[in-house]
This record gives sequence, structure tokens and C-alpha cells, in this order.
Amino acid sequence: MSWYGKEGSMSGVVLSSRVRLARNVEGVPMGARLSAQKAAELIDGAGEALTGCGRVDFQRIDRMTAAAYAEEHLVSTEFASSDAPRALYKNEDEDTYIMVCEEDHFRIQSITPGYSLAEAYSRAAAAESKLAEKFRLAFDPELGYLTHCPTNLGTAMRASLMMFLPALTRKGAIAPLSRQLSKVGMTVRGMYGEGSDAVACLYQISNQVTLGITEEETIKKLTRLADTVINEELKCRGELLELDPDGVADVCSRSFGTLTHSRVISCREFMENWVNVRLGVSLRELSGKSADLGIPETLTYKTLDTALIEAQPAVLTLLAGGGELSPRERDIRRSSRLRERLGG
Amino acid sequence: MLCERCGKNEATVHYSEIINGKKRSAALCADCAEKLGISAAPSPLDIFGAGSLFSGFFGDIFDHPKAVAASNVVRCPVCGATLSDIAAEGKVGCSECYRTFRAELSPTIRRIHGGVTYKGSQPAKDAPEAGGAGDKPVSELDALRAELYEAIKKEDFERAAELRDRIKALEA
Repeated sequence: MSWYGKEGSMSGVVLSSRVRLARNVEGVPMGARLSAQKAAELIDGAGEALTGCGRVDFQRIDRMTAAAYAEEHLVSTEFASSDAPRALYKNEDEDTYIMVCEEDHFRIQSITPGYSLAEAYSRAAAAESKLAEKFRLAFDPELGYLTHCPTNLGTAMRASLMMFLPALTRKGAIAPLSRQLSKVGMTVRGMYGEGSDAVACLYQISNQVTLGITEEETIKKLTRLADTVINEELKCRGELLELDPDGVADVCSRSFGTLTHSRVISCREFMENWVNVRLGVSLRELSGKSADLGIPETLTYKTLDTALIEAQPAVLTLLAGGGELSPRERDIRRSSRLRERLGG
Repeated sequence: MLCERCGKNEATVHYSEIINGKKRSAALCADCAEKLGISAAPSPLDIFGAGSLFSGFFGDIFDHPKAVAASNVVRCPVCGATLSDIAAEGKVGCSECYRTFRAELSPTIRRIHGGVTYKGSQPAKDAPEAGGAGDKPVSELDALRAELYEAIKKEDFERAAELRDRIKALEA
């Protein structure tokens, strides 16, 4: 079960924590210069190093299955859509994924549910150690880990949090937040659309700086910033409920009604309503479960986050059996799956 | 070497481009280069049309005096990339490129990351040799690469070519 099917801490604001390490093998060409034979050696070698991991050969799976991995945020979209030889290794706990022959030879990615950056880092580092036993990883004492793109030099680590920020989005606070973060070497980007069009109100906050700062310092810094963002978001959510409790209850109830009673629902309409329902679950928590927002008490973030992933086109198509679906057929399937999931 | 287009004049312009990962190169005389709209002046960002999203990163490589003279000559001993290739793609061809073109890449790296040096974890000490194949002694390859780097620094390209061949033979 992937990150979205597990309980995590601070899930009201943080859906998942992710640490990605880029690593390359000394003396082996990268990117377009990597031969098919060398790529195969890297892929097989990684398999020997990463004992206990399952292997998925991306050249042997169909486009839809590959796209579904990207929609689950388990691989990059570039990796999913490439034609080059490449493979994914995933551990048994399904929290660490190693892309072999992405832009870099290895992209180790650990994704843990909720607010758990340190845990994600330790898992990624464990997978890296296994690879380092088998391969001589490209490293320079001054530049750190040597990467295909010079922007990643250094720790070659990207630590990120997938954050749900509906109250800050409504307040128009994302643009100023983005400016503030960039001043301290961090960045924020919309997960489904950018800026004001970030319909799902989901943002990825991550470090930009990789040279001259240790992995631990990066994680501490990101955590400190995320704490501030979480507090601001929760404060704004509290204000929403205080200012107009009936209005909020109305919006949440209607959205829950739409998700559970539609028969045809587009991805966009789904996401707009999903935001309100997820916010509703959080507001009920904030109010000490006193607020009646028309959402059943049994509804969890885990269920909602699973619904979000299942509503995406490729995952939805696979769940429906994998055959080609027209957009309308997808909208019908999305709706029936939602009713099943959320009990409409 | 004669121009690949007219076959008459001496080729003085070595042109290469990488589009969607596919590399194309040609050796042309100044006349043919001009006819094809390729400038022989050392302004590679014009030549490459800044096609890559990241090619701008390496704009200042060519501020380095040695880079202009050597960019068409020096190739990374491991992957064969030239400085022009790296500038066009915005990415290196392999880890060795960072050593081969250290002086030329330095200003760019400083511009991206600031003048800082690495702080962070170190790879495991008992790691196997380059390439991970585990069959050739790393020391010989490393020594040859170091020698090659020195040869390139001294602009002793004859010696560099010889060393490059030996490295290639060892890696084959």
C-alpha cells in the first residue's frame, strides 16, 4: 500500500513527505550518452544491490500503467513517458522507489505519509547505502554528489512536503508565501495546476539549495518553514469557521453531496469538491468535533487521498480494467468509484 | 580535415547540436558555415539557439579564454562530450566531465550555487570501482584520468589523445 493508503501525522495539512536523492555511477555516461548495454548493466546491478525490492521494467509495461505510477507520484512524469531502457525498484513497505536510468542513473525516492521528513530521509539513505555497496557513486569532495544537471550538485537531495492549503489559497497568500520561500532557498509549486488555478489546493514545498548545506540542515530548515506554514493555514481555517459557520457548513455539505450523488463527474469538478470535503474533515477536527458540516464522522483523510489518486485518468482507467475509455466514460467511472469509496 | 559540405576547403568550424538527445555534428569550412548561417565566432549560445531550457546556465563557460580555444578539441575521456555539448544541453555527459572541464564549469557552478563548497554525507568508503563492473583495477584508470587532466590543462593534446585511447581500451 502506497503513501496515500496509510495514516500519517498532521495529515490535515501534510499529505506526504518525500526525500529524493540523485546518484550516479562513476565512469558511466549519463542521459543520451548512456548506451542500452550500460543501462541494462545499471538496471541489473541495482537489482542485485536492492535485495527484497520488486522490479518493474518500464519498457515492458503499457503507457497507461506507466502514467498511473506518475499519477500516484511514485515516479516522475519524465520517467513514465520516456522510451529509454529504465526500471523501477520498490521495497516491500512500498515507501521507497528507485528509478534507474532516469535523468540520473539512480533517483531514490522515499515517500512517507503525513509529516515525516526525517523518516523519509532515513529510508532513502538506507537504499542509497545498498547501492553504494555495489556501485562506486560519483562524488567530489568540493562539489558533492555529481549529477547530470549541475543544479542538483551537492547533496543532490530534494526534500519536499505535499501540503493541502485551501485556506491560504482562498486568502491569496500563496504568491507572497512563494516569494518568501524563494528568499530562503525553498520553493513552492502547485501540484495540480499553478498559482490561483491550483484547483486541488495542493502544493509541493521543497528545498532548492543543495550545495553548502547538509542533508540534516536542509530537513531542519524545511521543517521549520513548514511548521510556520501549517500554523498559518490552521489559523486561517479557524477564522473561516468562526466568520461564517453556516456558509462553511453549506459548502462542505454540498460538496460531499456532489461527490457522493453525482453520476457523471469531471476530474476538475471532482477536485473542486474534494477540496471542500477535505477541508470539512479538518474543520470538524479543529472544532473539537462539534461542527456539523454534513460529512460522516467515519470519513478519513486516508479515504479522501485514495479517492484523489483514483480519480486521476490513468489510475481510473486501470481500475476499470485497463481498456481505452472515452472522457465521458471516465467521468461516469469516476463517479461510480467515488460513490463506492465515500458511501453515497 | 576537409569541409564535410564542399570537400574543398580546410574545416575550421566544428559544429554540433543536440536536439531531443540526438547529437549531430559536422566539420565545415568558414564559407560553408556562413552559408548555413552558422557563426564561426565563439558565441555558442547563438549557434545552439539556446534550445535547451538549461543551456543558459552555461553561457558563461565561454567567458573562459581557454574554453574558446579548446572547446572543439577537448573531449571528456569517459563520455566524449565537449564543452560545446555540455553548453548546448545544459547537462554534463558523465561525472568525469566535471573533472575534465573543472576550470571551465566552475564559474557556472558558482553562479548557480554561490561560492560554497560541499557539506553533507560521504559515499561509503569500501565502494567498488568505477562502472560497478568489478573487473578492472580502479587505480590504473584513475591514474590515467588524472594524467589526462594534467595533459589537458597543459594543452598537450597529442598526449591527451594518447591517454584517452588507453582509457577507452581499458574500459572496453
